[in-house]
Amino acid sequence: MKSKLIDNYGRIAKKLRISVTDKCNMRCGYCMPKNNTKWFDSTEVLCFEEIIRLSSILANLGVEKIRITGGEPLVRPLIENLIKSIAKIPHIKNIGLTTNGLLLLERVEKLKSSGLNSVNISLDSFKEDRFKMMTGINGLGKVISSIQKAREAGFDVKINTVVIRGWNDDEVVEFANFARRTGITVRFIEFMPLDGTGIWRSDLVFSKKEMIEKLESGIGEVSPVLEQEISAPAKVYSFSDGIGTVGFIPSVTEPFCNQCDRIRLTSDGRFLTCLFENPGYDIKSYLRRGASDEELSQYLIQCMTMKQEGIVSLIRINGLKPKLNLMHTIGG
Amino acid sequence: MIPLLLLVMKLLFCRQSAGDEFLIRVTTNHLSLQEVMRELEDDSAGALSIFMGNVRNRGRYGNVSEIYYEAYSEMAEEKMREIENEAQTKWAIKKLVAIHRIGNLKVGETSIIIGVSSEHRNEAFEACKYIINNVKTRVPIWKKEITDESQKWTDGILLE
Amino acid sequence: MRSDIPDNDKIKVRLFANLRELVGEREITITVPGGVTVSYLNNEILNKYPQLKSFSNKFVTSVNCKVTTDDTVITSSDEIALLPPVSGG
Repeated sequence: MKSKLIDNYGRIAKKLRISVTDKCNMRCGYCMPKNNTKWFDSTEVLCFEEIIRLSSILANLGVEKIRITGGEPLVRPLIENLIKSIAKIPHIKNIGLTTNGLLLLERVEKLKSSGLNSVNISLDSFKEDRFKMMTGINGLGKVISSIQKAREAGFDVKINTVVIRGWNDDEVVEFANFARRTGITVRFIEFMPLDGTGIWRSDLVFSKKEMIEKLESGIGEVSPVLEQEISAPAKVYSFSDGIGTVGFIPSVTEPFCNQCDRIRLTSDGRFLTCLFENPGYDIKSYLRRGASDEELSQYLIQCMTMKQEGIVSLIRINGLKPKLNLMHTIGG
Repeated sequence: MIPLLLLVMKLLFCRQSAGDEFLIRVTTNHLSLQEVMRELEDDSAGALSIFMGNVRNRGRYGNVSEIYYEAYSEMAEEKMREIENEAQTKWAIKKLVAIHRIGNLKVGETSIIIGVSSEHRNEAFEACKYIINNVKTRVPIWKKEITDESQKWTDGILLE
Repeated sequence: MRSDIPDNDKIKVRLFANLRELVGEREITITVPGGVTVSYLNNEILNKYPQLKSFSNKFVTSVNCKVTTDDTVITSSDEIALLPPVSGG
């Protein structure tokens, strides 16, 4: 289907990230302050009906894939019902969920039967005490079990790992070995200045280049996989012995803005065309004032044309600094 | 052989997930009997039972001019789905619809439509009755009677 | 055992029907120590909004859309609501 969501750089939006809540049951040191309990009011948050309506409109405009994120999406009650409804929207080919895995174990079957296709589980350390230090929770065992269970249930499972110099960069090889043992792709994400905790510094960024160096000295040669989705954020690599795949999301050192096909809806009803857009467009007000589907479509098309260049332009002017946006209100 | 196997598997799978396809909704929009009838269409159904709850002009507190319905929507839909699943295990149901309207409703307007289609009439009657009776006591929706003199929330049942 | 428990928690509670009208808000925020039970929370609510005191046995509490017992431990990442007697249909 021909997409109507095109920006002035010629980029087409095909993937929608929906943050369904700003709440999280973890307090990762690079995302949310430990004592944070300031959440959106329930009246500010889009209800399922509103999310479904906007998703349908965007599907009609060319969106093909939807990813459910948060905060932690499983914290939103009855999220399986939302997924069931989204699964019925014509033109939507794939629905994914990004989660920290803590609440996943008991809900794998229900999520599977709701129509969910893939699960990305965030995991930043295999060391129990480091996990606790980084997330605030004693949850390593639970997350490992949920990775297993999700795989057994037939989900397409990937691991997302944020690498921060001095925090967990010494585990890059172990994560790659996990990928090699299990066949699950691990994606290494560079530390972006979307930290709710204001701790970002450029010297904390552990680059894709450095990660590859570690992998090559610790395990063996890696090379890009031949068949790749160009617009996907992660560049996938395989080891030369054919065992295991890893991905890299080098948002800071090798930004890929020119291939971006992603747009976002926050839980409080803002439409973002870029992770670094702030505050974004208040589509909720339009919706709640009684706009028709046609009016909402036109508005979204217009917003899309104003999509900024991306993090590349910030890097160019040396404009990277902590807390450029709050990831827990946008979703990964 | 294989197409037959696939067809059988499809039928089995569809039966099991059929409940997920039914129209269960809490909405502020006017209810459409036409939409309900479309949802209930099934060539193998010999019977169709529809319940419509309408706002009437008399209430506990006098002459009613309007009813205001409020809901905890996402939980209400979930509870309605639970009730619908129970109905499906008790009776052989082909299709099922349950829509509740919320907001301000005038006398004569419809607040709820329950529809059931089944092969024979007994199931349609029984399931329809079961669903409306349970919706009245197990779903987080509240009714306020607006009369000339007052506005009062109707007595109800505590959820369990 | 819940381990995502902060020292101090700001719990949001959704209100409906007559309770909403008595308080004048669709949602209230109650500050409690981390890891309290539903009954502790309800006590705090009645203290902060004494107009609800005469309705203290006329609502149930739901946590994440499930009606729950008084001893359930809650945190601010839970969705809490006070539900008066229902009258839908």
